Amino acid sequence: MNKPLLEIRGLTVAFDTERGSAPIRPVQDVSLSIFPGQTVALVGESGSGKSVTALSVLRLVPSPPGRTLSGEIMLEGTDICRMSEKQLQHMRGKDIAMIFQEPMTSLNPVYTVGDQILEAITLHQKVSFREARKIAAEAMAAVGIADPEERLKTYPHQLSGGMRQRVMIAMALSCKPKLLIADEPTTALDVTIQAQILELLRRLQRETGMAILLITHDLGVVAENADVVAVMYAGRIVEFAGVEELFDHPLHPYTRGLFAAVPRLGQASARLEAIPGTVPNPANFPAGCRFHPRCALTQQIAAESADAVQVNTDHILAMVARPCVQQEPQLRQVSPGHWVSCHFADHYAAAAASPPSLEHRREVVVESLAAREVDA
Amino acid sequence: MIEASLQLPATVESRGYARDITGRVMRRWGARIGAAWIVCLVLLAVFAPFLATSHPLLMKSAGKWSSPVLQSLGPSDVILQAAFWMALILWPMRLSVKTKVIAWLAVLIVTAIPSINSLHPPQLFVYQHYRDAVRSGKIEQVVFAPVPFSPQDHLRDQEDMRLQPPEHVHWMGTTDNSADLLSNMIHATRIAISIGFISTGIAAVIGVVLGGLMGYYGGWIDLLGMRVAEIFDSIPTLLLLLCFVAIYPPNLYIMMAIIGATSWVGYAYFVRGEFLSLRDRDFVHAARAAGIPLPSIIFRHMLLNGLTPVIVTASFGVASAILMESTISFLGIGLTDESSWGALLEEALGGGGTFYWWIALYPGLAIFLTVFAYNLIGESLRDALDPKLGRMM
Amino acid sequence: MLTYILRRLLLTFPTLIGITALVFFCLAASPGGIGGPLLKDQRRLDTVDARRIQEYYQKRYGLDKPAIVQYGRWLNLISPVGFQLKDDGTLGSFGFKWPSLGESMGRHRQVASVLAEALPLTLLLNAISIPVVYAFGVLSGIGSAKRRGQTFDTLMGASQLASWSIPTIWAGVMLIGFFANRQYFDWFPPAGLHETEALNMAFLPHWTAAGWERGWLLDVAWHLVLPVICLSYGGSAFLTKLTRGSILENLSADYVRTARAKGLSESVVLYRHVFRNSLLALITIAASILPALLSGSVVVETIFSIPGMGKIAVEAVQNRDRELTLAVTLIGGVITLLSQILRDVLYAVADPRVAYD
Repeated sequence: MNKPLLEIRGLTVAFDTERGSAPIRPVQDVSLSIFPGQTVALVGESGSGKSVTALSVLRLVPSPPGRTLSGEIMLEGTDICRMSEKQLQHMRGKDIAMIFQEPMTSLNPVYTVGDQILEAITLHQKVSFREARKIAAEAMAAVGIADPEERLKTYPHQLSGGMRQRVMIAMALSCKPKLLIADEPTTALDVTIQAQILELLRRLQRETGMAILLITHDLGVVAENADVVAVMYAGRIVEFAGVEELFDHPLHPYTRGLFAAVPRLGQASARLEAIPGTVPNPANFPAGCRFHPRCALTQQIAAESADAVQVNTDHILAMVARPCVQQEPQLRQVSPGHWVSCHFADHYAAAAASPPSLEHRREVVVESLAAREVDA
Repeated sequence: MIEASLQLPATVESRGYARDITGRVMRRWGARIGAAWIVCLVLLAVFAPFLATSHPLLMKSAGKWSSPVLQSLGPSDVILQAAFWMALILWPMRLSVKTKVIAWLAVLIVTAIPSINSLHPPQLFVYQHYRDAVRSGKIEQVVFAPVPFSPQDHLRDQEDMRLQPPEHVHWMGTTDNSADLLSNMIHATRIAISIGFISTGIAAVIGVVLGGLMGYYGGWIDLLGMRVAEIFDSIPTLLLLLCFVAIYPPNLYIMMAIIGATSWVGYAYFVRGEFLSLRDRDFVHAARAAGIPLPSIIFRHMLLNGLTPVIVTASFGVASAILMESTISFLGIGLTDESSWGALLEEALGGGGTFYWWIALYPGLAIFLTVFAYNLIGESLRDALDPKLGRMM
Repeated sequence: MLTYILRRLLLTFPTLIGITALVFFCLAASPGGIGGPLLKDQRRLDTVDARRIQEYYQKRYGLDKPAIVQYGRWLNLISPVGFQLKDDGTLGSFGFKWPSLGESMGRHRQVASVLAEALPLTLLLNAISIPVVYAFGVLSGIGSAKRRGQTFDTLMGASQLASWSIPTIWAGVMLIGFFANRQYFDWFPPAGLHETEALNMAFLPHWTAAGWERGWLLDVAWHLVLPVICLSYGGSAFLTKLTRGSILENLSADYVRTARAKGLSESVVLYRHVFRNSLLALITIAASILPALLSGSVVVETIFSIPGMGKIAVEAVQNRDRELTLAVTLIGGVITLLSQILRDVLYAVADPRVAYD
């Protein structure tokens, strides 16, 4: 068994709001492991806390409103949460790199693309200027940009969205990081470009053996790219499993709802099946299980048993099962390689709470891993 | 199945919007301080003839009570009183804004016409008569104003009271022609307040109209208008003011018009920009396609959007109008019959290097506090109206 | 870019004509007309002499002609292509000629020589004030932004609006009254740009038999302290607020997040990335600082008795001195328009997204 590259344990982040109001917690007790060469997908709707989790790994959460309340983020034995400023700067870009959702605004408009890539290279590698330029051009070529030498002199606004994202990837990969965090890298792009970028990421992963933390809300993207999936809802991870296992046997009602909402070709139905209700306001999370106001399973169980409680959510009354309101469920491994946090998942009561950690990959990338060990 | 309940957004009346803005602005301490100072100034301006005058408020002479101060009131004093009390009465009343404004204007006109016709206070007055009469006993009982000196009272019954530092009779000392400084300052409040509001109002009206025309019609109207705006924008304001002032003899109303005529460019740029960008918006096309008449589109949709930068600019504009008037008066080119704060300030540096600190401190402080107050209000307005700034502070 | 600059320069001509025409016709419309105060001055003389002097003025300066003709003559005077002016005032042949600013009615001298004395003083005052305004404003703006919410920032914020609200006339009077006065602190000279002795001094400070001598350079510097303070405090306050706002706005931009994610230190992020973008806002505002300083110069020069362009301008307008006023207006307009063009060019250089055709 290899050791995980990155381990997030019990991360809780708080945001201070306006004077007088209690701070909100968009991320609560999140635990996650990423192994070398693995692609972990972090899935959730807007407001689920996935971006904040990703930003926390690099400690990029803006500090006046946000602060880490508790938890550890272990990168190969060192806790990122306790790193000094210098160590942090040393690690960022070199060990862990990040690309963002909006490629246009994520690049500085007043510097050329080449300047910005060179900045990343010269920061972490002791190379001469000419060598740095060569590395930059190679990085650009690696991400599929034609005529890289010329392109280095262009400005961000002269490139299309897809090209800009490629530049971002080139910049992120120029120092050969071990982990790439991709925060919804294709959401702002056309569908065809989306496919190209994701294909590019997969290829680069095969070549370099880096791990990817892929943040997305698109299940199609997850299906094609992920090895392991973590589903987030309202600041917590509600389900964690290998991608095939998750798609075959989704256990959490939220995950099931997500799958049910995807329209299938050949399915004849009058309405799309949406999960009723809306994502709760972080200032006002429901008591107990945060999903219970929208959960069909708990209402079904409440109808069947006597142990029910009436709740009033957004002025709508419903009967839900008592444990769902009183006790917040934990993430427990209910079957090998499958964690879920739902009181009524099969084998939940017997399982033990544990941080999810699954070394599962769809393709074996032995050669690149071996190559990495030589480099390291 | 729980269904999310739909909530229709509440329709926002324009009056509700104004009230909302006022609430947001007034929550800031800067706006409160500024507004408090302006209210003080308004009170001083309205009640100046009663606060600082050599005419006694009440006088008993030869057994008969009389009120000389009432006889000395001019048309502007009376109109100001009417305006103030009417505004005070109308404000808490539950009527629409339009009704209130019309009622207020009506009362003003009704007061103005007879007072302009019938009130003719004497232009020259021998103020020391009152003091002589009190000393000689001709006046048995008398109630003087809190500051018992008129601005024009040159204290001819007392020897050499020129340029005296403050003491308990003259709380702010005396000026170059032996007039009481505090009295002059109180009466000058009127000039400051009126110059500020009226010239900014004139500038805003000119700017909004011209800018609106340029933005709406575009084409050669826009080209011509922009050239004119550029001309006004490129002349250093002070120089333009000097030139305009040269045309007409300096008079308060002319001065207001002149300052208004030189500062309209900023408003025009904003409104023009707003109109140009709105002209092609879908909702304007939709409105026109639905047959809504053009002026209605302009006023209800376009103007309301474009007004917010105008309001912010206007607040700063009032401050700069007051500064301009002070500067012109300081340079000796401004109003001659009434002293404004700027004109008073000019006397502070005497010949031979003497410095009369009270003449420098008080008028200058008054100008500064007033300008500061309007700038504070302008800042608060900008913070409240500009969504982009938001929590940046 | 070059065509853009040329086009802008060409467009300044109609604007300049507009400006000067506006000013001229204001003077013409005033009571007494052009040169009115100069003609009126002759009241003390008896009528025959007064009338003779009036006729002299009118003939010499063409004051009896209609306003538009006078304006046209002035345009002809300043243009390099026009009618040659013969000594008796009539027009000669058309062709190339030296442009001239004419002769000042009030001072009986060539306008060019009057301005040659006054303009350098105003330029000196402004040339020193502009860097002061920018240096102080930008540095304290950055400092404020870095220490957002802390005491330094709150203090700067409160004092900045207050400084901006202080009227220049008050600042000048108070500065002279307290710091240049025998009654209080007599640290600075109250007027002018040199002491009379300074004209005989050497350029640099040095020791003589009588003791330490200031030297001309230091003497001018000493005289400039109060006027420069007076001219620059308002602009600095404004720039501080602008810089702070722009930096804070850019600090929350996405590319700053990217820069940090690359591993750059906070100061590199601030100076290389954020400030470079804030520069754009600062350049935009630069074009309005210069005309504001010119206006401010009028007040400062009057208070401190510096015989610069501002003082000349006020006097010229009061005398309705046609040539002098128009020349001052022309120069003021040229400076303003050129600074606008310069600002646009600098902006295009600083922001690669902007391109002019």
